[in-house]
Amino acid sequence: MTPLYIVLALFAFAGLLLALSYNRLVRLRNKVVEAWQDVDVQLQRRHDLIPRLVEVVRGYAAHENELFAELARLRSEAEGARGAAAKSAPESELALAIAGTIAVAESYPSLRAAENFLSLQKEIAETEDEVAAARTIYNGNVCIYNTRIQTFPVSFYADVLGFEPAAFFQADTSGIV
Amino acid sequence: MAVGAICALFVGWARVKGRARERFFARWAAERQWRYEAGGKPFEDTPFLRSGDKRKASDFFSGFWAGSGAVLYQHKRIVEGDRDEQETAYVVLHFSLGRPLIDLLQISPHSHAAELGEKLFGYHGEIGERIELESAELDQHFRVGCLRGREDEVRRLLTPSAIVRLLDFRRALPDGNARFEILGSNVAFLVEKTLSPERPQLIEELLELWRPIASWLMKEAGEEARLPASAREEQPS
Repeated sequence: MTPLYIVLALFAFAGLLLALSYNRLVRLRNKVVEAWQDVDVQLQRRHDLIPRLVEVVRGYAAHENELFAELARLRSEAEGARGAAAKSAPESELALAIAGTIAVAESYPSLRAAENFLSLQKEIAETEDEVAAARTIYNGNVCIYNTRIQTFPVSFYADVLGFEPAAFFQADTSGIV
Repeated sequence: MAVGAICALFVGWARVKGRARERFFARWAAERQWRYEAGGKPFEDTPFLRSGDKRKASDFFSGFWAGSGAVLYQHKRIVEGDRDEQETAYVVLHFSLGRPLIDLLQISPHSHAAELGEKLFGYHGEIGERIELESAELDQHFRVGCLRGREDEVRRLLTPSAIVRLLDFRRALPDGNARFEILGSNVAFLVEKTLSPERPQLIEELLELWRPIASWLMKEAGEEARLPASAREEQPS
């Protein structure tokens, strides 16, 4: 009888470890989702600033139509993309286009000194800081989650339980303000 | 007789060493436009500073820092056990934001023992609620707590950039066992370390590491004050 009890105890112990590991994976996956929602909120803030930026710059540099059209195109492209992997490239381009628009705006001395432009520029800088921070947190969570599901012994059953690696968000906003 | 002489010698040596320490710190503080006092009462205006069976304080440095008056000192928290006392030394930076920022926010080091206790018996801290923020790395190193029903206030304050500042601090001081507490307008930053004339640069290192967090809190308190009372209550979560 004793060997049977030992085997049963081992199975129960393994089952407990599996349950704990599963719960931890679920928590980590939820963290990744939660952090992505934060990134999304900050990206939406960035998108919402674009019409204001265009409006302010247009008042002083109406002939920069190509620049405004490009901003509008990149914004709709970025808004159309879903998920971290798909958003990486368009958001990068959009961030660079915003930085480019601000650089153009700064070449107009009267615009550079305008109060509404200065306050918008500050708001854009703050938003970019929050985007960068939200991205850091998201990528940190992805790193912890991916490492967890790709290392022994979790790698044996993570796939079977439906835990797939998450994508990093690699938008490069270093060129902005 | 011989024992008495040895004791007298030891006491004399300790006094000389203590005076040398005070002279060194006083000179060191004066060079940086800070004021030094060897003794004083510990601050007790945040929950952790009040905690412990006994508290001792020494080596007070006060001066103008990050846009505010600040005091840095050695805080000792003593917990009495059945047979002995357990003393933990913290370097504390204490300052006021001028205006209340939040009813209570505690950011304390993560402990596996506390986590296990929480899982088994629920959360029983001196504060109401433990909050899990979006960063897994923050959860690995810190526990964030606030008064029950004030979670939204904390979530609004701890934006992604604030979380990244805390993580940057943790990375720069991995063995520091750091704590942050805000009670209304009172702020206390604590690190489990001991001040020593042999390593005076520790003070400057800590002040440099704390500066971005303090500046952010000052800015937040300033912005909070600019909002009318009605808007503060109606802010979306």
